[in-house]
Amino acid sequence: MSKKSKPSFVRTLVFLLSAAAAYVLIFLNIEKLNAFYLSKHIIPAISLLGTIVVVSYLYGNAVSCILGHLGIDSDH
Amino acid sequence: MAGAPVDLAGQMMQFITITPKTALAVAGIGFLGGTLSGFLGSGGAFVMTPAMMALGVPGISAVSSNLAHKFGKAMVGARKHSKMGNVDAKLGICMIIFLLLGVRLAVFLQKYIFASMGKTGSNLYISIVFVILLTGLSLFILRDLARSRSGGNNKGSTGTLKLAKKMSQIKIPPMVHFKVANIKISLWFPALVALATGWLAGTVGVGGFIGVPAMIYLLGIPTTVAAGTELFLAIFSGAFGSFQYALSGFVDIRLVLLLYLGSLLGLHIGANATRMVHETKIKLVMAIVIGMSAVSRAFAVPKYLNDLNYVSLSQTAAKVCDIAADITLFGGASVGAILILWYVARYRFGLGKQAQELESVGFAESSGH
Repeated sequence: MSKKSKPSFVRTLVFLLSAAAAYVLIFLNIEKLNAFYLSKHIIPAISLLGTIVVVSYLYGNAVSCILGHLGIDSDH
Repeated sequence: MAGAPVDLAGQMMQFITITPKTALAVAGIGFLGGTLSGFLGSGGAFVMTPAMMALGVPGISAVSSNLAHKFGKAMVGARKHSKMGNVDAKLGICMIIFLLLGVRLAVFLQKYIFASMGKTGSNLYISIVFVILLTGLSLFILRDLARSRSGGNNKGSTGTLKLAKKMSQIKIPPMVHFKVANIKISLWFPALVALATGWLAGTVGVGGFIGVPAMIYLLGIPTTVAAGTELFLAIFSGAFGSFQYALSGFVDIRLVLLLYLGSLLGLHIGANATRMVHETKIKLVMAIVIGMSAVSRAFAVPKYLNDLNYVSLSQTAAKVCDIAADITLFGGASVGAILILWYVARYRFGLGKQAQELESVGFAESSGH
């Protein structure tokens, strides 16, 4: 099905641990973060979107690597 | 994890409290939406926005969180899709201004309705838009399916080409030639399409399901270029819309991150499934999910009208409507996701004759996905 080579184990581990760390850090500090993100100014709004992009990049790559190992990765 | 209150023009909005059960439910909604998005090309918001509303998330927060979720996904996806060469940059740039205008209009309307009618009024507005759009879209897909089955697809294609040709013959200046899309058309038509797409993106969290067909059928743009250009535009509508909502404090980052947990996984599974099934099955799943989502929002409308004192419903009737809305929404999405997983499992593990036949004729390579 997929003709791409499997991603390296180290790459998978790095993305997986980074994504997990990002989730843990954000959810453990959500009260403080929300106080900043919901302050209705330009910098907090940009920071909020930046956080979303970084987490989606880390977790998206982690999922892609894991599924690549399982042989069900897609080009999305 | 308690939700933070947001003050807007005197209206206090409370983000929902996230318990382990709610977190699992939101991640599950993300998985359903992601699977459907990957399988259908777009459309996770059809399910994700109403499903979050069913969990008690205010509609405006569900839309804005969904838009932020879509923006992150589009940013990541754009890296891969930029190499496809299917984007008409000139067309995209011409459409961006009107797209952002549409988004701005939608955000303004949402805020106005929220400020004047509160959370219930905002939920009612979003639900009515969903009912009208999703019903129309579902009927359109079913008609297309029926035509395909009766062998009348060519007639339909000719009809739509005729419509695009008629549009190109209306010479309202300025007439612009778009090289990649290979069309010469009045600038006002792409502008109107962009305005509608932007308004929808800002209102329900997704605009591509109208933008792509409109570009194909009204403007006569080839399917691949329409899809590529829409993806290019989605980054801007997602970024601008979520930024506008974030400025008012409506984006709940907890919801966005929990949605990602399921959606990015589902996206890969859904995208893989498209290589394994025939186009008619993709359309069938699409019609089921969209149709059930429309029915679900239709059941939710009387309860909102009752809460706003526009109609009077007994407690039992309101409860029945509430339950019916949940059953139709989650039932439709679950049936869609189960069908997709079944297609994947059947292909992967060689279950059933059809899967083997598809593999033997190299369907995966010839399907064009």
